[in-house]
Amino acid sequence: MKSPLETAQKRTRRYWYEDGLSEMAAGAVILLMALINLAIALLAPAGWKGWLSAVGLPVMVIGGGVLARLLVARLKERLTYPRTGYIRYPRPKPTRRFLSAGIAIGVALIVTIMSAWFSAAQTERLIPALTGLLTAILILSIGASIGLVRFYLLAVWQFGFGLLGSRLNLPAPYDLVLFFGALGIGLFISGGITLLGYLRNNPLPPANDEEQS
Amino acid sequence: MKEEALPNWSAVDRLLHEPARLAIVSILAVVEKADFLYLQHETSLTKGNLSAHLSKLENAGYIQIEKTFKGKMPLTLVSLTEQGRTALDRYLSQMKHWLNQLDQHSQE
Repeated sequence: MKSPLETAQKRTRRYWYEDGLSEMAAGAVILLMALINLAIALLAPAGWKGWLSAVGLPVMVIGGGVLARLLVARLKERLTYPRTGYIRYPRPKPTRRFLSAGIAIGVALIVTIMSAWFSAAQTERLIPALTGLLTAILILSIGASIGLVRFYLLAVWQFGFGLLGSRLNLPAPYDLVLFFGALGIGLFISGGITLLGYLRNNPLPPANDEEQS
Repeated sequence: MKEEALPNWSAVDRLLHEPARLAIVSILAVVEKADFLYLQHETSLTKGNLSAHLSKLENAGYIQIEKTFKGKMPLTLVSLTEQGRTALDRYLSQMKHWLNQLDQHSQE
C-alpha cells in the first residue's frame, strides 16, 4: 500500500503534466521536426538539402522549442493556475542536470553505435525498431518516476511505430518522418485528451472567490 | 514480547502529527513555493481550515507565507523553511524507527 504522503508528493511532482499542455507543446515541436524533414526531402533543391538538414532544421526546432515553452507558460497562467493553483519547482541541482545530459548523450551514443553496427551487418531495417524501443524505455522511465500511466501507453505506441518502421523499411528521411511524426502525434493526442479531461474536471472558480490566509 | 521502556512519545512533533499539516508540509517539501489554491485543491481542506493550519505552521517557523498580488487578484505563496524541512525529516525518521521496531516485535 502506498503511503498517502508519498502519493501527495508524487501528485505534486507530476503537476506539470496535469493539464497536458507541455505534452501538446512537445508533440507539436516533434511533429514540426518531422514535417520539416519531409518538406526538405520533397521540396528543397538538391544542393540545399544537406545545408537545410544540418543547420536549418536544428535552428527551426530550437526556435520552435523556445516558442512552445513561452506559450505553455502563458497558457498555464490562463488555464491551469486559476483552476488548481500554482507551484514553482526548485531549480534542478547541477549534478541532476549533468546526470540528465549524461543520460541523453548515452542514449544518443547507443543509437549511433547500434546504427553503425546494424549497417555493417546489413540489418539497417532493425534500426527503427531499436530506436523505438529505446524511446519507449525513456518514456516508460519518465512515466514510472512520476506515476503517469498514460506514458506507458505512449511507450507502447512509440515502440509499435518503431516496429512498423522496420517492417516498412522506408528510405531516409522517410523513416525519420514516420518516427518523429508518430511520436509528435502521440504526444499531441495524449496531451489533448488530458487537457479536455482536466478542463472538464476543474471548472474555473467564481471570480469573487478570494483567498484567505 | 520483550518488556521495554515505552518510547518517548513527548518527543513527537505534535504540530506535524496532525494529518492535514503533515500533508501540507509534505507537499511543500517537493516544491519551492505553492499558492493557497494549490494547497487547498490538494488537501481538500476548506479555506478557513487551511488558513488555520498555515497560521500554526507559520507561527512555529516551519513555513513562510508571502502575500502578493497577481494583477488585481490576491496571491498567497507558501514555502517550507529550513526549520520546517528539518522538523519533517526528524518526524519521518522517528515514525519509521518506531514502526520498524513494532514490526520486529510483532514478528518475534
